[in-house]
Amino acid sequence: MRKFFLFIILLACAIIQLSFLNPSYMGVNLILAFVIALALTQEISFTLPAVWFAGFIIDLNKTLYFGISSLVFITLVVIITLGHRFFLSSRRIKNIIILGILAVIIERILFLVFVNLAVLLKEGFYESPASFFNTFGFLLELIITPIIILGFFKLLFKDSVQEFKQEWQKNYQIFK
Amino acid sequence: MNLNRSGFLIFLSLFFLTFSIVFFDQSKVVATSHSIIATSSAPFQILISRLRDFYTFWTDALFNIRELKLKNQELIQKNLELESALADISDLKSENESLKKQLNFANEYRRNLIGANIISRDYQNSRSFIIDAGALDGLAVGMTVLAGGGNIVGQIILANERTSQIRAIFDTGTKISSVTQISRVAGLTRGLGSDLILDLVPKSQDLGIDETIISSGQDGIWPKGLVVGKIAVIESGQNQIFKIAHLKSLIDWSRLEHVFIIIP
Repeated sequence: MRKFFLFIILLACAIIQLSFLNPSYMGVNLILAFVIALALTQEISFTLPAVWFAGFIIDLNKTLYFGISSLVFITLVVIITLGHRFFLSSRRIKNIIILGILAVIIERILFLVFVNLAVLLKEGFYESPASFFNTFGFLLELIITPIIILGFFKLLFKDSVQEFKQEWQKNYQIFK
Repeated sequence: MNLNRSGFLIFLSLFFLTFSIVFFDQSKVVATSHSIIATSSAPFQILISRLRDFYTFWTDALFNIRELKLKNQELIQKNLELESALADISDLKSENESLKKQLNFANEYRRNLIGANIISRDYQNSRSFIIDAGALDGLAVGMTVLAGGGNIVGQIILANERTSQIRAIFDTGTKISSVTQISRVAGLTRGLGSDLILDLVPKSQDLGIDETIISSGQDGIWPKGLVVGKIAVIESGQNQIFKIAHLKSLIDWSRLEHVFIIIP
């Protein structure tokens, strides 16, 4: 039941991303933040198919080939899972912030690689990397995505993340 | 959370399945799946985009009252000026029509337009939009999409039953045979992903900053006389054969909510 609920939230994030939080309004990458949160807290056997399907909703509104976002999301989930396991294994706030920032950069690189791979193999040319990185939204994403991930942890995944909770409380005490 | 053997197998299966979808995106199975997902998610997209419009309208109204008031006064002044200019233009128009009659000119091409609302956008850049009108409303692939004032927004690249996808003018797939409005210098407008350039302009031709670029209609794809943008920067390297002009679009993309589609 909880997994179904999370899947519905993921789809809602995808639709809100397209119809509300697009470049015309702040450039917040809600879907990426939720994908990262799922990758850090849920079983990969649930996360992979869920983000794979959400990628197709995102691709409804891309001039890229249908399926590119799904490829990016599933690859990103695997990279985050490996990164979380080997390098940033605890769910401390600092690690989540680093993962959030890295995930935004990796997501853009994956888009660049997969789009250009598809364009190169199908059309015989490639797109300029500048168009993937030089938007103001990219900088904003680097700052805002970790904050949204922390928000998701606090709202949706706090029961499953005791370590995070303790860290949060410790930091909250400092701010107090 | 752990990437175990089964997780890795799921990843590989999904990866190769998606790779096949990307490479066979023109196949009927992929097109049908795309259409089903688009049709079933359209009502939610329309709902969320209406909420966004409502939210944007009221936040704009609340936070920009002073600016709106000043703009209103400015527009009233501009309106008065335009009304006096209009009187001159109507004289010229009647004169032009009588001259055309005398010279047996064919009737001008009148555009048949359909209005639609933008219900979602590409979230990483403004290269793609979805509108709430589709094949059932008479839209088809290749039709030109405009904003107010005859400014080109893009072209329809996919027409589902009730929604359509527009490729924005900035997309790398956009190529428009263009001409400067006053000096009639020809070139090719190309999208660079997040920028627009006027390319293939011979070095001997003069271009001016802020000059308006319009479609020439010579490519047989984009109708003649539509506004592409204005020249912002001109580049002319010593070793280059052609000049390049970077264009700025006249559309406020962040506030673009309604578009018009030209029905041929």
